[in-house]
Amino acid sequence: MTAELTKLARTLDTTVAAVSFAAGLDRDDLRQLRDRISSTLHDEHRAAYRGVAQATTLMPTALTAKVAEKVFPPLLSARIARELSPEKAGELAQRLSVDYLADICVRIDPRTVARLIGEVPVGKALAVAGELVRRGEFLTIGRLLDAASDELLRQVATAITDDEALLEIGFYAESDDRLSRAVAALSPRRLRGVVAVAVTGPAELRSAGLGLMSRVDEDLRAMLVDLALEHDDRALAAMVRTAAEDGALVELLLVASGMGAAARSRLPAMPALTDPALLVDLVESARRHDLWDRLRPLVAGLDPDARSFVEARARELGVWDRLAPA
Amino acid sequence: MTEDARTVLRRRLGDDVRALDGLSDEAVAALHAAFDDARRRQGRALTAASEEALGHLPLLLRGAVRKVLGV
Repeated sequence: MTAELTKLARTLDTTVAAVSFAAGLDRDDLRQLRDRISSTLHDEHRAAYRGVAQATTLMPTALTAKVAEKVFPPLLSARIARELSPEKAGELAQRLSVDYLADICVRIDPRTVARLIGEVPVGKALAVAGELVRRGEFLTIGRLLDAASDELLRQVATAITDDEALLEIGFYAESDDRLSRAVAALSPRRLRGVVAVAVTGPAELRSAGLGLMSRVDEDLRAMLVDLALEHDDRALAAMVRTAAEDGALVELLLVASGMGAAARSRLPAMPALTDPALLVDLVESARRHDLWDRLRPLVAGLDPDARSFVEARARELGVWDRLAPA
Repeated sequence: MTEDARTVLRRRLGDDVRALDGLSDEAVAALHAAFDDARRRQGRALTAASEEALGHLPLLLRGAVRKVLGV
């Protein structure tokens, strides 16, 4: 959710605090709102840039690239790019500097990226991704990856060698499917490193790790959860606390349900996950999002006292029949 | 006033934007203000960028290019 608010703030060119009015919206509705705002803003003044784009077809590409980089601030080039044919845009991208292309990427309409990215040479795209990582433009990379081919996605994921950066990019990835593909491209050693950063890092990386684990497909999630469970209970408890503090209970439910039976046997030894207040919140989350299948195995793994507590609360809410073991 | 904000946003962003059903009147007013601010800032940034580009052109060409860019 924090990721979506940050993206909305970026789209509106303001702070996350200034868009806190949208905090109660669900992720899909927030995303639709952001897409519409982005499209509406990018559609303004369009005619002016169409004329400039037409003028570029009259000049040789090499000259256009030279003039563009010298004369047009990246904001203008991002607008003009939308009016170019994909072929022309690809030829220009080949000749523009990595710095300038990175500047354009931060400002470009996501719809334009989807249309043009296939024409950008892979080597150039990787160099630009590297520059964006260096700048900490994780939100921009997350957006660009949504439009990348499977091959480019694989190459970018493996070319970024900083585990923290990968986690941050994953936090801002637009589509769960693209995120799963990028994560699946990583070697087991990289995955272990990324998960270690998520579990042992500061709160914002724990949030990003939890978000990532909750969004990838089930098989990948089970693999990541296994890697997380290689860490001690104290580290896992910190992750649970972060989820509670962030209100990321749906994510926590999804991740916890990715535990195998052996892992669930560690539950009674994890006070953070069996805290009565958290359990009540988890029941409420399961009710609101119809995630009983996710909560049921977790409750079954609790010690008798904690299970009785959850049962009593669930009976009060009239939902114990959804939660009781079959 | 707040009802107007919702109507204006529906017209600009589309009738089917679900968030506009889910937000309170106060939240819609805040969204409307943030959207208007963003449009104004964007307009200023684009004008400044266009002026910067024009500054690189010979004086004689600037008038014609201004017409194309509408600045």
